[in-house]
Amino acid sequence: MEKQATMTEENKTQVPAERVLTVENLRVSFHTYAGEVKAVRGVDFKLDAGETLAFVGESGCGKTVTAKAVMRLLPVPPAEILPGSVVNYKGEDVLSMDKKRLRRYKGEDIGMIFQDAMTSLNPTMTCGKQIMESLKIHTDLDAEGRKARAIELLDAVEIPEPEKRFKQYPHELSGGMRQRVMIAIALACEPTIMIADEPTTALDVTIQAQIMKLLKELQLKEHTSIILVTHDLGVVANFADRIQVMYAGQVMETGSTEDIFKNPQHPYTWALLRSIPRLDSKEKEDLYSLGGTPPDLILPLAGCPFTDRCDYAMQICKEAMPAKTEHGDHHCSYCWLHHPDAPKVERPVGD
Amino acid sequence: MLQYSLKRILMMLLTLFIVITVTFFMMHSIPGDPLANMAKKLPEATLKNYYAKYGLDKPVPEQYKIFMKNLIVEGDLGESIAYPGRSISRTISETAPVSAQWGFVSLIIGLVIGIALGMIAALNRNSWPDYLVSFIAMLGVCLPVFTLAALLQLVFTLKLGWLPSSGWGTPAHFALPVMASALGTVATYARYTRSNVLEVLNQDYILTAEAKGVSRGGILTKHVMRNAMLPLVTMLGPRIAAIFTGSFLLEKMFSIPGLGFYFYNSVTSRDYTMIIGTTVFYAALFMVANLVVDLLYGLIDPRIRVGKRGL
Repeated sequence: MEKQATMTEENKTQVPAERVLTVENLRVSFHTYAGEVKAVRGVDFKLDAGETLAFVGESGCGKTVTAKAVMRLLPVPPAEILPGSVVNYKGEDVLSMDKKRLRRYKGEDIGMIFQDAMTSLNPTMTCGKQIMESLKIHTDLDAEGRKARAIELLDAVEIPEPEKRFKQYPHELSGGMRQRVMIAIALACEPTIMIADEPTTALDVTIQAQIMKLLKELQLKEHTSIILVTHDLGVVANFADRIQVMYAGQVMETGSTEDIFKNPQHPYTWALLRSIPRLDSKEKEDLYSLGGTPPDLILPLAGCPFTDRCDYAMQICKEAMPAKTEHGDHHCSYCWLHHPDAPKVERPVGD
Repeated sequence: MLQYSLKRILMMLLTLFIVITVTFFMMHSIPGDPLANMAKKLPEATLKNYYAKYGLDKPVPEQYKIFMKNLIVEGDLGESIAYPGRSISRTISETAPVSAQWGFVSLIIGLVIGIALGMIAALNRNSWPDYLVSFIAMLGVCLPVFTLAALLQLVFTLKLGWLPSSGWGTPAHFALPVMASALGTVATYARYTRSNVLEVLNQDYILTAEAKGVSRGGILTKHVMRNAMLPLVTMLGPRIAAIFTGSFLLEKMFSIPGLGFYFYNSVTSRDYTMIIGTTVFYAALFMVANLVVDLLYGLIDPRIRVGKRGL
């Protein structure tokens, strides 16, 4: 319902009020001794209020770097957000924010949840204090108000006995609990956007489901936009509104969750979907795995980065980057197969 | 916590016993004895009386038994042989405060400068301040205390004439020995602070703090400092010990009437009772310092709450 409303409004006005984040041609490089690693090579996306966008791709595809670049969390140097990149938060240029504005932007406008809750909390500070630290920076609450709010937040992320946990140190909590504390920290100042960087990767499966459910509930309550970074399409299916499939620092395909699952257009998306283990698979059937590794991002890439691993690669794929093909409303992909002259290819069955 | 402390104290007593025993037999195995100097001047009969007076005519195991009995039963360390009439306990209680005074000043100055330099080096990694600190640290680690002390005397007393070369009594007398002994602390702490700060800066929770919008100063004071300082506390024990050992040489070189000065003299004159007495004192002090540091560590680091695990 939310999404519908957003879409219609978007169609009506030129600059939609609900748009919270616009990223255009984002390019990020890391300067290393070996050379310039072009980790993110021209990524575009848009995020509306209350919407969930998932970045999906295998390790090293630039999804985390993209998320950190948006939050201005990359260490500069070695990282560099190349000129020409646009990151726009509610009409404000994020890349030219000064130090003071940036401090408010982090925490107040965007909160981030990290992958490993085991190491992402300060081991020598109580959980309560770590939540209150954020409140101290971004709100006018006094010490007591901060404490009350911190306990309220711990309660909101469904931590039992919040008063007790408030005083405890991270090592006294389980992994799932710590991730909840992380979420409480990110939520502390009710940010407009929450970036969740593989929030469940370090947790076991039952806890994963709980955390994702919690995130969804909190999102609906606070009307937060979420950018979910994950390599797990299974996690995304019930959670995201839109999916952006990334590979080697580029977007391969982007569309609504339904588009990606029901009508995927890019061979890489096909491969990702085939990699999801299925409950109804025949006995003793080998799990599908995509052969090969992503390209070295230090080396120059002329064509489509997926060429070497693609079952449908053609001569042109090596030579030039494919253009964007629209497949309908907000669903597009970058693949030479969609060129009018390309052979018609059917998606492999087995899904 | 209490149980842990008691266990540690028991272990300390055992260690102390071993230290005393080893020292006792080692010093008796050095050729000569405290009365060797008098031997030429005194008639044989008188000398014999002297030996009998200090029990030195008895076999070494027998002497050991007597000494241990006196120490454990009466808590008496005895009297100096080389300086008759001077009780060991009084010598220690009079001279130790002198050593403690300048040792403490040196430790504090060394810690403050060392940690500060380490922070500066870490935050300016691979630029000239970092290289400068590395150079100072290398110098401090490589240069023996006595060489440094002699160099300082050469520069500040002989060449510049700013400071007294030796002696005790005025603040100016502190300067050279403190400088000589603090450089070691500065060097050790600068190096460890640098590497610890760099390590902590790479931790995930620093990124979490950044994502919260904590300022650079806030990250340093609230997140980096404490986590980086923790391992440094454990190094306090050995550092205190180094100041003790440094004091043997430095007090001799700077003529400071501290415990180290007397310890040094007692060894050269093979003053048995004095050697044992000061050794017991140093060993005990060193172990207590280590115990305090360990307990302190438990207090600062919430992950190590001594006693919970029983150890």
